[in-house]
Formats: sequence, structure tokens, C-alpha cells
Amino acid sequence: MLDQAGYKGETQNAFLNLQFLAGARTEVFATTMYNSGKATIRDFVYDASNIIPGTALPAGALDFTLMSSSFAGFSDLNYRTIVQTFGVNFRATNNVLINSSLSFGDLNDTQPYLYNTTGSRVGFYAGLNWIF
Amino acid sequence: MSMRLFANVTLGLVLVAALSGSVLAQAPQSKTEGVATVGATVGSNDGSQNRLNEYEVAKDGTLPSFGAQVWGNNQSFTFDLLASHGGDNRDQKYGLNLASAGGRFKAALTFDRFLHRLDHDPLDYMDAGVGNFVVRATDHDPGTDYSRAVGLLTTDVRFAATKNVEFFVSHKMTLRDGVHQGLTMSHCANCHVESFARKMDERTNTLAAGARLNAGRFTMDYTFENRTLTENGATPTNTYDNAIHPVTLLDVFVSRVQYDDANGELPFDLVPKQTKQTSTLRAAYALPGDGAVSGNFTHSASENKHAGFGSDFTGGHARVTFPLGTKAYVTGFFRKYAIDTESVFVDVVEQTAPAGPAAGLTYAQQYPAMLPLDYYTESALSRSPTEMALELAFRPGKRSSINVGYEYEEVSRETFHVEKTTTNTFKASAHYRPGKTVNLRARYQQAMTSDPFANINAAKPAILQTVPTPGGLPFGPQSLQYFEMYNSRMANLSSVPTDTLFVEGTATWSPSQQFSVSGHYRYRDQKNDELNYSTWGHAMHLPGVDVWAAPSPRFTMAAGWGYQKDTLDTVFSTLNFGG
Repeated sequence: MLDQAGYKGETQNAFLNLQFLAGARTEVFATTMYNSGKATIRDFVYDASNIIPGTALPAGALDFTLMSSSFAGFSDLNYRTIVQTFGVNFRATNNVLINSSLSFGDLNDTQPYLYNTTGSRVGFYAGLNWIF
Repeated sequence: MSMRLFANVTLGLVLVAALSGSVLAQAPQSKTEGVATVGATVGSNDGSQNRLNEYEVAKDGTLPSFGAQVWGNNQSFTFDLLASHGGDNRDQKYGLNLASAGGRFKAALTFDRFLHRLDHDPLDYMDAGVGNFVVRATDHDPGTDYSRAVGLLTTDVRFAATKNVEFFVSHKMTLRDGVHQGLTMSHCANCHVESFARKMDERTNTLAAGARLNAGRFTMDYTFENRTLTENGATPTNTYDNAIHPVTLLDVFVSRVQYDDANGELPFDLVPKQTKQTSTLRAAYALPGDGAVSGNFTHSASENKHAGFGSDFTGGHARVTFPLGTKAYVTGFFRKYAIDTESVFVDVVEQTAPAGPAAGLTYAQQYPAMLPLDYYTESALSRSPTEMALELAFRPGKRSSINVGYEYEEVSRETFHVEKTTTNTFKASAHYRPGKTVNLRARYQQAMTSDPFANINAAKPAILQTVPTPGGLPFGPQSLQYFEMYNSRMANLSSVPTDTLFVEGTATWSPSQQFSVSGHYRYRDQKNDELNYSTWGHAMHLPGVDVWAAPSPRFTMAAGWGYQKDTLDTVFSTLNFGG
């Protein structure tokens, strides 16, 4: 069986970085990252008429409608990822810098391929830097 | 969350550098500076982290982290040391840079170790079939998260013996240890996919050494590199299913496979030891009047030590650039190389059927039309390309430049369907600044290929049998065999274009030092309309915008957006076989 078909993929990426010096010793920042990716087989229709006409059994005992609909969905992908970070850097003294950040990441997999990769994470980091 | 400790240390260093104004390279006297960091990350995970944090430890819980960077000099040498540990041995980074003797001796050492989460296909979509025709799967390690730790150790030492001669030696080691999913499959009576946990302990060592000569207008260097890949993890084994007739389940099908349960445990997912030696000689000469001539010659030999065969690469290129008046340059380029991959004789194991209509016969004895079974591999990688290019760079004014060029490529093959492929490519690009605030760039490229690489007679077998074989038995002389369908294929397949068009435009507007906006658009269209039963095409659109603004000295903003759309047109072909 032979059929002219296609595959379409679309990805979008966007980011926004903001930085604000709140005072002589304080920096506040925020970063937003967005990504989406979609892909699918298109125009996929196996035509039974070009196989074996006039046989008692369906050609090859195969269900062409079922094959077309199921094959076309095998490679469907649909991901959406958002990562948001907020942070503060504070210079306590000339030699001590405190930094912290709060991050949230979320990935939504609405067309799992092999397995569902949907997941999210919230993380908080705090650190102390000694400059010498 | 996804930032590693290194990013935090780097952020601190940026602030330190900005505030103190101290830069290593400018330090005139003995001085030691640095930053030490201690911190902790608290995280809470939900669901899979395989895509969201594919290369991050991202532990569910609390992890301490430590880091330090020290740099300075003591008048005889300069140094720069970095260390960070993210609370997990799969999150480490270390570095050392040394320079002495007025920069004549330089040494660098780095080590980076990180986590790589791997997929585990649950194989839960396979159980399907009609009657005894079944596709099934067995996962012997269900539910396990697979991952590996990747370690990169690099060492680079350079020493200038005189002002004209420099020696260099480097070593790079890549370590990959962990567990991945090893898959194997039994054929007949049904397709049975089996999944195992495959331990990996892989090491790639690359040692390179050479010398560089600098004699005025003439420079030359030679490098020898030796690379070895070794897998120390045990090769897994599997005992395959008994090859039986898929409908009757009788033990009459052994002649149709090369191995089954009678062969006992057989290895799979084997990673062979591989070696590669490469010699590279490069030379360049600066012509009077801004011209230049350069070239190189490379020979490499790689070998699969397990199977005892390999591949050779021999090639070189030459480039000449010379001015044409005061506003133009002409560049000529020629490259020729050959890749020769050894053919390997494959002696097909021919088993005899224990019972049934073919009892005591091999498959080829039962169906002599299939002969010959044994064959030599003929690698599509073996080829001899020749490339030539001519480019003219012209600057009509201070605010503009124009480049036009032509490229010719010919690829010859001795052991594959397409003996020779030729490509003619025309290129042009331009840069123009109509004013101080606007910057414009454009690029165009069109390629035309004759006889692109293709798999000849790869799909669409002829309709050889329109009614089922009486009784559904595959043994009679009237019974259609797979090899007969395979040999009757008529459609050529290729994913290489005969025509390619690429255009790109970029515009940047910077009305002030506080604002800049840039937009770009790329378009590529490829098609192959010389296939006998189908067409192939691939179109890509890629627009994007970037904005940067600093409305006040205390506030900055950067934003960007990019979009890519790929559309592929090709043919889908499936063998239609009813048992």
C-alpha cells in the first residue's frame, strides 16, 4: 500500500526577562520562558481500492479505515512548557551577597508518545556568597 | 529551579566584577580574589521530570550546595579555579586554568558531571493481533526510571618552546554510567518484544598531540589524535522464543530464522570497542596585499574491534583569497575527500526445518529462487565528494556589503544505487545600514541537485497474489513468499531534494541606546519531484522578534518570540500481507 501523506510540526518559544535595581544593594529579577510544540501526521488515508479489488475477503484481511485513523495518530505530539523564576540578590556588605530564587516549572503533555511526560516542579534556592 | 549552582556563582561573580572593577588579566601585582558560596535548594516534584528536567538532578526534597571560585596571580603565574557541588554526585563541576612564563605555558583542566534522564518505553501498546498472529511485549523491569550520569574530563596543555614553535597535548574523557532500556525481539510464532535493564559503563578516551610553527607569513600545524570507545558493562543476553508456525503453532518454521531457543542465550545490545586515529596537517600563507592561501590534509582510520572491520577517511581542502581592487575580495575553495567503509561478508545461518513439508531442508533449498542468501555489506557511507566554490565579497560603501557565490558538489559512490549526485548552488547576501538607527540583512540561496541519493526500488511491491493460498499454508509452490514481494518493489524513496530555496531577512531598529527591536524571517523550501511513484517536499517558516528596553537606569527588559513551522510531504508505504 502506498499513500502520499505528510507531517506537520509547529514550535513556539517566548521569553521575558525583567531586571530592577530596587536600591543601591538590591536587585530583583524575573524570567519567564514559554515553549510549545505540536506535530501530527496529516492527509493520511489508505485507499483500499488500489489494493486488491473483488476478493472474497477484505484485502489482506485488513481494516483500512481503522488503519488510516490509528496510523495517523501514532506520531501526534503536543507539549507545552512554562518556567517562571523570581529572584532577589541583596548585597548585605561589600563582602557578602545573599541571593534567592523561586521557580515554578510545568510541562503539559496532552498527546503522550510512548508514555506521559506531564510533570511540574516548584523549587526555592537561597545562598550566601562571601567575596574575598 | 532549572539553574544549577554554577549559574548562581556566575551571577555573584558578575556583581563582584562590576562593583570592584577587578579583572584577572589586568592584575599588575600578586593578588588572590574569589567568592565562596553555600546554599540550599528545596524542591517539590509532581509527575514525570524526564522532559522538564532531563539534565537536572531536581530532587524532590532538600539539597545543600557549595561553590567557590578563586583567581589571581603571584607574578610568576596566573590561576583561576572553580568548584561547585549541587549536593548530588551527579551535579558537580570543577575547573583549573594556569598560565605562566609570560603566557608561554598554559594549562586547563575541567571536570563536569551531570544527570541525564532516559526514556523507559512501557511497551503497553503492543498487545494486538488476530488469532495466533500476535504482537506482544514483556518488560522484565517495569516501572523503573532509567538514567545515566555523564562525566566530561578535559585536560589541555600548551607550551611555546620558542616564539615560532608551540607544542600542545590534550586529553578528553567522556564517562557514561547508568542503566538504559535494552530491547530485543523474537520472530515467529509472533513478534515478541522483550525489554531489559541494560547496565552501561562506557568510556571514550581521546588523546591528541601536535605542534604549531609560526614563521612570519607562514604557519603550519600537525595534530595526531587517538580515540577509543570501551563499554565495560556486561553485554545482556536473551533466549529467543521457539520459531514455530504462527497459525498451526507446529515446530516447522526453524528454517525461516537464523536463531531461536535452540541456540540458548545470545547477546544483544552489544556496544563494540571502537578506535579511531586521525592525522591532520594544516598550513596557511599570508600573501602580500591582504591575500591568503590555506589548506589542510586529513587521514583517519576507524575500526570496530569486535567485528574486525572499519572505515578510512582521506581528504583535504585548499582556499585562496585575494583582493580585487580596494573594495572587493575573491575567494576560491576546493575540497576533495573519500570515505571507504569495508564491506563485510555476511554468511547467513541456514537452519533446516525439523518437520513439515520442508523437513530436512533449508529455506533456500525449499525455495531456490531466493538464492543467493550470503552477501557483502555495501555501505552507503562509502563515497567520494568533490566540492568547489567561488565567492565575491564587495563593499560599495561604508554602510553596505554584497556577497555573491557559486558552489559545485559532486558525490560519487561505487557500491550503492545512485552512482553520482551533483549539486549546483547559487548564493547571495547583502548588508545595508540606511541610517544610524536601522540595520538590514538579507540572504538568498538556491540549490539544484541531479540524481539525489535515493533508495531505488524500496517500496510498493507488485500485486503478486490476489486470492488467499488454499488452507492458508505457506509451504506450497503456489504460496507467495516474503522475498518474492520484496524483490518486486517498484517505488524509489528519497528524502534528499532536487531543488532547495532559502531566503532570510533581518531588520534591526535602535532609535536610542535604551531601546532596540529586531525581527527576522527565514524560509526554506525543498522538494524532490523526480521520484517515480511519489513526491517529497519539506517547507520551513521561521519568523521571530526580539525586543530590548531600558526605560530607566534601574530597569531593563528583554523579550523574544520565535515560531517554526515545518511541513513535510512524503509517501507512506506498508506491506499488505494477509498471512
